[in-house]
Amino acid sequence: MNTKNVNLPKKGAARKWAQKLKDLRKQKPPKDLVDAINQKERKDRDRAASSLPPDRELEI
Amino acid sequence: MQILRTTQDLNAYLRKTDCTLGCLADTGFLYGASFDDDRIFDKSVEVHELLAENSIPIFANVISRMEFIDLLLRKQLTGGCVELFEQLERTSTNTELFNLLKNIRDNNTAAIRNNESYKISEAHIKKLRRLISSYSQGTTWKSFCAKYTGPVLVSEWKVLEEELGLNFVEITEGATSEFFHAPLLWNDMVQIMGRHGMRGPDAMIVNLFLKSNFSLLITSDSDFESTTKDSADSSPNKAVFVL
Repeated sequence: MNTKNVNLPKKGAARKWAQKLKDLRKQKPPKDLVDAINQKERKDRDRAASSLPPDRELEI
Repeated sequence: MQILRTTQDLNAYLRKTDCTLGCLADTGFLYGASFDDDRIFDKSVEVHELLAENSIPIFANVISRMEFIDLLLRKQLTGGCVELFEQLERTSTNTELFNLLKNIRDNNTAAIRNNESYKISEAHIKKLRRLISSYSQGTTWKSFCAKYTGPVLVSEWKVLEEELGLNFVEITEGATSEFFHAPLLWNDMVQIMGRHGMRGPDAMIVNLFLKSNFSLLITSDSDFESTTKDSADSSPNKAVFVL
């Protein structure tokens, strides 16, 4: 093994690293994901509404 | 073999022992120093500071390296699940995803109360991937991963190894190096497993430590204490620090 490239621990690095991980975990979820879930719901609702039988629509 | 339990013990040991070659660490220590909801976080950070002050590099084997990355992935995804749950409203079409995320959020909350660090399981990840991908042919899953795990595993990993002072030991069967005074043999590891009823990855660390020139092993697992103490290979100058 090559000992010339040994990594040495730096002071304060563990706490800094833990904070970085925490900040990443605490982010809001991607907008495209939340939108996709909401849009699917909306599309499904629209599809359900448009699939009502025509005669029933006429009755209304 | 000495057993150290407090950072004062460790400090005293480091003053009288040359550990500049490095110390061996298990996954529990690496995880403990990374997540502030882990019960050993403060102690692990304190130990890391001592190692930094004394310029002692940290070595782990490739199994621990893999376990550590895997735990990071699971923990970061857990955080993402909790955040996603906060944004969801229960509807007629997202019940399965909603319930899964609620379950994860509840487990996480309970773990925090018990001073434990909760991580989702592999089964959770599979289910989560399937459900999230169903919303947009996989692109939503990718964007979820890119947000919570991508930065850590793609761009931060190299920096992490450098700043935390992590190094990894890779050695083949029967070989020796400057780090080992005796060859590492598969059979020795299997004997440790059989004699102590110890899992393979743990027995591998014990075998590695006993055959190595490293004086210090840092672990979160008290099983290492009796296993290393009982071993015929144990040296009086070696020490196990139990977090």
